Amino acid sequence: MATAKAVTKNRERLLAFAIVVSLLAGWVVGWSRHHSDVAGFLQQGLPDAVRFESEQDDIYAGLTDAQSESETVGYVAIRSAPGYAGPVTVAVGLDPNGTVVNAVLVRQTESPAFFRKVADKGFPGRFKGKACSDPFEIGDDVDSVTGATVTLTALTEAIRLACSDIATGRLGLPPVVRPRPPIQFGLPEILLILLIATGFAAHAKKLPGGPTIRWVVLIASLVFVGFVWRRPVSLANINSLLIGYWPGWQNGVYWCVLLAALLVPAILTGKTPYCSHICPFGAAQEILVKVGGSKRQLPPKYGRLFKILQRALAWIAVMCALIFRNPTAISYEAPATLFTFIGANWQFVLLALILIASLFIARPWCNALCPIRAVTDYLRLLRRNFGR
Amino acid sequence: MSFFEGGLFWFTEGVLACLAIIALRTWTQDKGIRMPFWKWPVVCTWVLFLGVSIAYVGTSLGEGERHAAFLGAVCAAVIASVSGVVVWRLLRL
Repeated sequence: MATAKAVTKNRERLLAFAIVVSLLAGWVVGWSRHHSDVAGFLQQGLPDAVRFESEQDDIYAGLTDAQSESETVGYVAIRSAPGYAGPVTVAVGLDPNGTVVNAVLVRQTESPAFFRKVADKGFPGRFKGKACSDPFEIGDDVDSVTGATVTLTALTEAIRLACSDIATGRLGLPPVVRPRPPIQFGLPEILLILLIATGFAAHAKKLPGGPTIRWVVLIASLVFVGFVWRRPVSLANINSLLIGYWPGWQNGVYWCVLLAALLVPAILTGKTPYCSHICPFGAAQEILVKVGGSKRQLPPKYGRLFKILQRALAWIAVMCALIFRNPTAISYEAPATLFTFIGANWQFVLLALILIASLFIARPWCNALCPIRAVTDYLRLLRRNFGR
Repeated sequence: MSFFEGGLFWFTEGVLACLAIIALRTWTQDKGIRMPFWKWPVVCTWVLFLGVSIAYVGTSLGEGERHAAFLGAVCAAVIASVSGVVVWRLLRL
């Protein structure tokens, strides 16, 4: 018996080690492939320029001809700002008067459906003709796009940065003083912290009426985290962290709190109260299983198969995200489809199957497919084998 | 004009709805399930919802709106399944 346990332990260690190595290899491959050729974007940013001279700080001077004393027709700057799932990078061309000649997208890793909303409204081309002294405020001189605020904010901020750097660094214009953006800490963040604190207390059995409080937290999470704010934890958030796309804390308080609530307990204690007490999609499944009146679990035979599938899919999704440096390179998460009602046709079919199955089986998504569960399982495996 | 936009479709829907209600009545009598008055509107509403869902999907397809038909079918399948289970549990009260 002791030998069998030792063999299992060794296999677990080997598996944990192999996964760490593969993720590191994926990260290195992704990082080494990450070289954007900006030449084409420079020409689009400043079409009148014949050639470009590279200057400091990713700013390029656009010149009229190939002669050494040729005239400067403007400047192009490449700038980035953090979006929902990584940086949004743009090339912005300014003429010598400080007017935007053109703004073109160089790279973005937002969810395709969200970026499409912004692109359909004509961005970033709509910045053409703006003066670098403009405020670049969404809702003021920049039209807002419903349902893609974070993406549009990132795009606008990147363009504003490019304009500001060219204007002050090359054109000698005075800097535009903008008020420091406020720290995003409002009702969603306060309610989220309250939900997490209550959920954790109920999980630790520190509160009287634990099961009732658990239901209250789950339903509140379904309503607010799910349907009102539409921001549950997704694998894209974890991928962003692994790639190194950390959101600025001023506008990322919500994500920092949510990810900390998921990952810190898993690393420190091996348990994740988030899944059982806070997850909004878990709440939806539990409500449906109550409606169905079933107490069935996945049969152990299939349960094991689904566990392997769950972990393999999560590993593939994380590896693709690292290699392509795109947190949403592979996305198959049903919760996002439910709460945003955005997704491909197969994602809607998957969501429908999961919801219908939830009437008869306890938490089918959590037990069979959820990549977040696979990640926390892996953290538990690491802790068990290398933690002490 | 497609089949789903014609009178024949609605006639078929009406026939199927009547058959469903008659079948339900016979089945509940066979099983000895009590059917007080409030159960009938519940069941009829569910059957009506199913019919309207089929009509929605059919007419959307008839108008060439494939995506709307698809989304409608998926939503209707989920709503019909969940409400069907609720109706089923109510019938057994």
